[in-house]
Amino acid sequence: MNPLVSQIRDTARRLLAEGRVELVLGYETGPVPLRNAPCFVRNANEVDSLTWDHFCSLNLAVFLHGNPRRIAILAKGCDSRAIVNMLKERRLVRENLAIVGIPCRGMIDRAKVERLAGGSEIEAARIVGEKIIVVAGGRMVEAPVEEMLRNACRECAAPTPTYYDLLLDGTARSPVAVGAIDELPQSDRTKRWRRFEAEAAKCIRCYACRNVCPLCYCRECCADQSNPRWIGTSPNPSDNEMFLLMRALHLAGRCVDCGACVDACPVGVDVRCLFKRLEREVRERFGHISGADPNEKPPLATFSTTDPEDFLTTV
Amino acid sequence: MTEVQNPKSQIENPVEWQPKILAFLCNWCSYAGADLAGVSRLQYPPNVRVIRVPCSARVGPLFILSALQRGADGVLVSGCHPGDCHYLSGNLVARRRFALLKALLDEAGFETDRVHFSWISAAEGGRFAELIREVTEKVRSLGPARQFVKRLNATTIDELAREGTSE
Amino acid sequence: MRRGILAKERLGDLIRRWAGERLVVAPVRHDTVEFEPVSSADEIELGYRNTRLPAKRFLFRPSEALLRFDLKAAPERRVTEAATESRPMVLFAVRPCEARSFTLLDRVFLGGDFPDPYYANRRGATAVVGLACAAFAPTCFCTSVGGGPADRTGADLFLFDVGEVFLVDVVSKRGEELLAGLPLPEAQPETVERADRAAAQLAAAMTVVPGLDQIGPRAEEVFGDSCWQKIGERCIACAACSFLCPTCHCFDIQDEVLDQIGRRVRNYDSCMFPLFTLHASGHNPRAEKSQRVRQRLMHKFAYFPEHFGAMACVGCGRCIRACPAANDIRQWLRILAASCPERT
Repeated sequence: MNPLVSQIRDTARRLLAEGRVELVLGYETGPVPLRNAPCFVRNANEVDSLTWDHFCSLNLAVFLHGNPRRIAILAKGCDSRAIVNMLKERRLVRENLAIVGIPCRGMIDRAKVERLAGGSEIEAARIVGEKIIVVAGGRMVEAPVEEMLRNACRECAAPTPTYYDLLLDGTARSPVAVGAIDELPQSDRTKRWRRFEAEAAKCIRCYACRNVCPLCYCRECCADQSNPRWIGTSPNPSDNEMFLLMRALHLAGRCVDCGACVDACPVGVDVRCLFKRLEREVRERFGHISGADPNEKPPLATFSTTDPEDFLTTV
Repeated sequence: MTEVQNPKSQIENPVEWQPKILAFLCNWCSYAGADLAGVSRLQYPPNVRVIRVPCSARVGPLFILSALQRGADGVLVSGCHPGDCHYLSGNLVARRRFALLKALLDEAGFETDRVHFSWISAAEGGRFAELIREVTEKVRSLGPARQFVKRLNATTIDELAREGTSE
Repeated sequence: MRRGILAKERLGDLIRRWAGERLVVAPVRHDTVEFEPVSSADEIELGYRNTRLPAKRFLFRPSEALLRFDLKAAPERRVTEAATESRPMVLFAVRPCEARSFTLLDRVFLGGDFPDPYYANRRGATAVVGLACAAFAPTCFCTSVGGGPADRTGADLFLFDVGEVFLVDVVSKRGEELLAGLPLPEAQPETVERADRAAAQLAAAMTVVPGLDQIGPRAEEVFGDSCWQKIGERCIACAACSFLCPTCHCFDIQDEVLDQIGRRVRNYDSCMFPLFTLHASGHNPRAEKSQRVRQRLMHKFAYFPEHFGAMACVGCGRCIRACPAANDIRQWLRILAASCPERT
């Protein structure tokens, strides 16, 4: 058993016994392969459901909204960044939180595994060493775990949380240097547009991406607003493009690239390139790194007198 | 913009097409600068429709994207020079927002020369006219808007369109 | 019911003939397998468990115009009914769970005092060719909700893949019309027996969620139970399940307006959104996530059976696969059917 699992369980037992928290939020083995479920532990005899492996991609911070209880939350690098941003925006009461940081080695991308298995539904999956072995459509296939990880994980600059109450002992994957895998704007604008148009065309406007995101919590989303009706509700190419652009803009400087949106999308829309571009712009222009410091002001709630003006049209 | 333009006919008859540009001008500086251009009888292309806002910060991305969606060929947002905002810091907050919108449109492969931001003061009638000339030419050279334009009979489920409905 | 044999090589001719007269929609493989219009049998993928998106979207469209209006038109033509196509269609190689889902949607859209003309026109012009399942996915549970791998409910023709040939069940008159003169040699008893036995074995091997038909009669008790907090807290209310569900049918009507022209459209909606029950006053009777989860389950397993005589679930398992939080409706149903014991 992964040594982190026993650390998680011991920590949960201790926090509950000390009365420090009423609820421990972690992961448990899911009903279907490749995706673990959230685990809500309220007393010591539920603790052994807690698990940890490469199938824990869900961002648990989404369950913190509006919950008045004292909660311990198991947080990977990305989850803790989300919590930092939620604290920045006063969505959480700090004293009610016990952030249990866990060094992360990356999470499996189910869509990649399904493609590996030729589109067949996965019947069973197991990690053996550095390989993932999968049974699908009656056949067995395998691949290195590294190749099957989500892109968000492969590009992660901070797999070990930097903001936590206690940090479990373990080795995270090597962080990718901030800015190292920035997608340079391709010189071909038409190619970028075709890519964006194609992704937007897939969208069925189910809003799973928005609802699973810990940072999307507006009581009235701009896409739902009916007076005025900014964004039509039909899955129309233009309205889909508006929705994706507006979500990206509303998350500028707030998105922590946890990849939950891509995982949740039932039709496989991937617009991380939009979010990552904005994250880079916020970093380079305003010197702000999303999810680093809960005492920093959100980048769009403030300004600097020396903000760059290169985007202006001057005469 | 009283009707959704049919891009096909516009492209077939390029001589007839004139760009339609929506300009959001802040009341205290840019709108006054535009007014000054008019009073000074400075000539500039008539393709701009002006919407007066109290401050450039009033302009959110939804305004701009919505205009593009409804067939605007170009959008201009102009406010006071940083430091001169009537509301002290409106344009400074807006500056960050506009920079990010432009970058996002670029990432999506949008023709970013359709969307322009500038600072024009109340005394800069000449600069305003020059700005309109430049923006109009840039937008004209891009042709009628194609990206984002909303068409009511489009759904993304292409195969259903192949069913041959009369929509 | 006539049971005949169709040689696999003949399928191409059949599809081609149908495609000449109607829209043929069949499973096509890209990254995933999805229903799409096809013009030849070569495009069709038959070796699939289930599609990601349900075929219901060809009958009950994700987005469809109900009316068109144009203020610039002459007064008598300002509002026009959107064309309700009645182009003949064949939904080919539909799994039994999907075929069954159409009969459930029929109860909503075709029954009662106000049949839905948009759905009715399309449904009346559509023939369904079912395809028996040769294997089930880990997420399948059709036998628990009255279905099965060889359930012919909702199909006009029903195919079994028996190796070299298809066993073809001509289930309905429309199925007979669909074959229209195509010679269909009668199936040998051994072939029939082989197909039926394989289907029965498969059905017997599926895990069962027992007692689902007990939820309806005990609706009030189930509604008031304390288990909903525990069930609901694990849901993210993302609505992915409802957008992929073959039997979900809630919709939203909106006017899409561009200055002087517009359309009134009907789009998919979901009871999982808080907006679904938000009153104009600001009050929301289902503001809590657990209330919405309860609503969805009660609708499918208590209210729909009460009104329409069947559970509004076909056990396809798409919701289980889609859920980002790995919720499994079968686990919830087990809890409910067993009178919601407290999770210890």
